[in-house]
Amino acid sequence: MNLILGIAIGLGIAWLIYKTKNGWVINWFGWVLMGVSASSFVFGVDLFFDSIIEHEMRAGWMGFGLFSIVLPVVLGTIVWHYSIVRSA
Amino acid sequence: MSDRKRNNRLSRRDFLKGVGAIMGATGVASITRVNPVGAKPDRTNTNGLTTHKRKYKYPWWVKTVDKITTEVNPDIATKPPMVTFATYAQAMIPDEEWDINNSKAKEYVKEGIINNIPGRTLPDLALHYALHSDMTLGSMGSFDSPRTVKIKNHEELVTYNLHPPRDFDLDPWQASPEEASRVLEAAGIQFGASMVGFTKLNPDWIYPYVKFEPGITEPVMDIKNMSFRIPESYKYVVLLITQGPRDLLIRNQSELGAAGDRATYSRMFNAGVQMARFIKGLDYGYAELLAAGPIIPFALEAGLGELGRMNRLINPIFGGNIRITGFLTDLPLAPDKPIDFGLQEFCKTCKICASECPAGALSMADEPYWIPANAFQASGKKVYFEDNLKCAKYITERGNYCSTCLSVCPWSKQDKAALHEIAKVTSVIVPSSGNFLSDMDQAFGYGLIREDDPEMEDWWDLDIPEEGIDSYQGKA
Repeated sequence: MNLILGIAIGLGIAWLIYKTKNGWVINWFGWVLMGVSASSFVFGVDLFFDSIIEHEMRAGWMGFGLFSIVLPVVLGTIVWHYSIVRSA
Repeated sequence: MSDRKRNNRLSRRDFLKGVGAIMGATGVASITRVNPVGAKPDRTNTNGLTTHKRKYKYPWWVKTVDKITTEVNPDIATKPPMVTFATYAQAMIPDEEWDINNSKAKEYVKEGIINNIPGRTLPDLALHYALHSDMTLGSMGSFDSPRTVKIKNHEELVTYNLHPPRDFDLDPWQASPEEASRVLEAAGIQFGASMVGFTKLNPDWIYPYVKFEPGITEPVMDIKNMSFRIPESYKYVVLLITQGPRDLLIRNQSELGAAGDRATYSRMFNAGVQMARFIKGLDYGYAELLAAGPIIPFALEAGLGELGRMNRLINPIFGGNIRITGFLTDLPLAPDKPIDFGLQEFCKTCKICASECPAGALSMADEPYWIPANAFQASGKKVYFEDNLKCAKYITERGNYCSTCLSVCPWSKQDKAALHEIAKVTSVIVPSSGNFLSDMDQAFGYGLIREDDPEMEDWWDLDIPEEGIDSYQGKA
């Protein structure tokens, strides 16, 4: 699972670098929020699978929803609207 | 470049598509393997019993077959003559030869002790026979074991077939207190303890009927006259905590929850018996601490936890999912120090144990206090005294042991999810976060599984580790 997460995040970073070289300008807090968002996503996925082992599925779904969906979506929306300047 | 060559080249788009497909397939495969969610076994209710397919335990390369893979032929089979309920060796070897072999074995064992041969030292031998506690049919792997054993009581279980150094005309084991503590801790973990702690005897905590006397070499308990005489040399205390099966314990206030409680006590009992055998195997004495005084103060001194709102021991790794046993001994041990992980402040605002107590026996006060609830509680300590009569009535009226307060404690978690570690560190750094963390605990659904919860009977379908506990908790 960690391998897949690592690959997904690596692809995300590669995509961002590609975009910054092709017209996007992301300010400093955009990078910070994206870092927080990615960490939160990984944490939520991790919590979900660990909760399966702990037989705590309610906590797993709650954590996944909160940390891997809600928080990244909120932070992503903020970044999308306020920290990316699209010059192209 | 020709069109044909151009067409044969792998385009970047196709390459990425291929990588995506492989990643997707790998992801699905790994998720399916790790998490058989959705593959719930078939369940059929028959006469009130829930049955289901047993989970398939073997990897794919182990196949099932219709016959065992060893050839058998009942037509030519004969059954060996058994002279007693014993091993085949005891049936084959006549008494005289058995005695000669025992003598040889005794010399061999003695040689190992005297020469400190690695793997055959006195602590090694004591560990072997400590773990021999339930070989009730005798064994050819242990010399001098009776051919048939009828263990009648606890005392015999602790003393049966032990070989302390005095059996070989040797002195008791000699080691520094630090070395002795290290060896006892290793042995205790092997016996099933989750943690082992050491402290010195504090006479202030001993029950009034206990007397420490210089003239005796063994503890003498006289139940009729309420007297427990203990040798004065028993100045050291060994404490063992055993963790319980959380999947059962969070089903408290039910027979399943009570089963979890008993399982924890059983593990504690086994570990205790074997520790007592180990201490005796080193040729030192022991006395049950439970009979001599309240065990929790000693566990606090030994650094095995702090006292929680429910007036019980809370360990930073296992929370309240533990039971404690301990011994007084004359084996000199290096005492541990008490610990502080901010529980006193945490408990002031958390209060989840008190609010979940089905008997309403726990205090909701904001601060601990000095006044006991009744004469059956020892005074002189500032704690949240519980109404132990309400607690006892609730348990006795239902016929199953309740440990709800210990199970719902936010510290009683497994350590797989990093969230628990974050919550624990947060509560240590910000002790007043107890209220917030207990709210989060409930919001995430970590609370008790109750009778009317559909998850209650799901326990029978859970894929649990041996004895329902994760023996690597706090260690990995």
